[in-house]
Amino acid sequence: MLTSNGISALVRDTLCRQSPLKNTVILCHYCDYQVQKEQSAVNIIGSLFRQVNWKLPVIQSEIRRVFNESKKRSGKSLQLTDMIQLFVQAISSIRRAYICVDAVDVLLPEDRSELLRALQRIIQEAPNARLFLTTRPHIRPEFVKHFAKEGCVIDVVADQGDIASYVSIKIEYSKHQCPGPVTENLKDDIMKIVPGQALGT
Amino acid sequence: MSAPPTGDVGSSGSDNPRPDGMSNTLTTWIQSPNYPLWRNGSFWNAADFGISICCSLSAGYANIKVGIYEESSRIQAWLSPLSPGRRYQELCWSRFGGIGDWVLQKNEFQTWCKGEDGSVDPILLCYGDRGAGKTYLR
Repeated sequence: MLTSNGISALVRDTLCRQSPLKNTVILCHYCDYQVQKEQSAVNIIGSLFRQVNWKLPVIQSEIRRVFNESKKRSGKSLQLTDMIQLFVQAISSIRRAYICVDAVDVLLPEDRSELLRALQRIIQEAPNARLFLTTRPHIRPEFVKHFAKEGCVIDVVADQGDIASYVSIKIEYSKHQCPGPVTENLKDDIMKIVPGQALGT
Repeated sequence: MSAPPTGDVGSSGSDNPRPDGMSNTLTTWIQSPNYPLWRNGSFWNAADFGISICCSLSAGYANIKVGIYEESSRIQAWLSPLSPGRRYQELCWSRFGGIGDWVLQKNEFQTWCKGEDGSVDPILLCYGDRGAGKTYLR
């Protein structure tokens, strides 16, 4: 199957490259159905937190304090409420935090609901936070339910230009790997047929 | 600060003959303050990752040891068992320039990305069917 990385990774890289502000963090999580059970809300917020921790040594001292306290209580992980509170505290010290979560729909329903509630709270409590989410549209009612305002929406459809570009690149690549059978006529035929049959259309 | 030398730092070791000039350059870079790492066009501090790097020269060979600060590593694991970078690396194995750029030109994205706090909606949602290009285009 032909695959190319999609909009989530593109947005992440664009934010990293073109971020208009210094003192900005870009925090990303890509939900993965293959490890669905590990992707609880607290683990996902924790994963975002790990990325803040990389960038802000000052935060490390506060985290270290909480971690050491936790060790005294047999090393238990943070509860979601405490995790959110610390996370908001951490990102409040920077000018802007972009939070990107891809493929929210692949989470288990209870985890997804908890995550959306957590993200809503973060957005409410941290005015410098921006949230970018991708999902299949069948859970749109859940988003409407959890967020007071649904936010700005971009409907993603498989762009014919993107597909044509991608197929063309793959054909050229294949010609270098296995020179021979792909004639220009065959390439033209593939270019006419494949974009229209892409799964996303 | 200049970019680090090219070459696979992790694979250098006493079994490999020293490339001409490489080890000295490598030593200068690695021994600079806070062991900067070159990633995605900007320097990151190795200490932020809980990484320490030691380099020594002997008999014309570069010996490089990469370690992990035990406490930082434990704290990161305690925060979450999910490794933030792993999935991203999987997704970025096939990158083709220009694909998906239409999203970046959308007013919704531009406003969300660059608008002032309080004057724009902080939430941007992308809805799309399986295979439409949110995570993969296939």
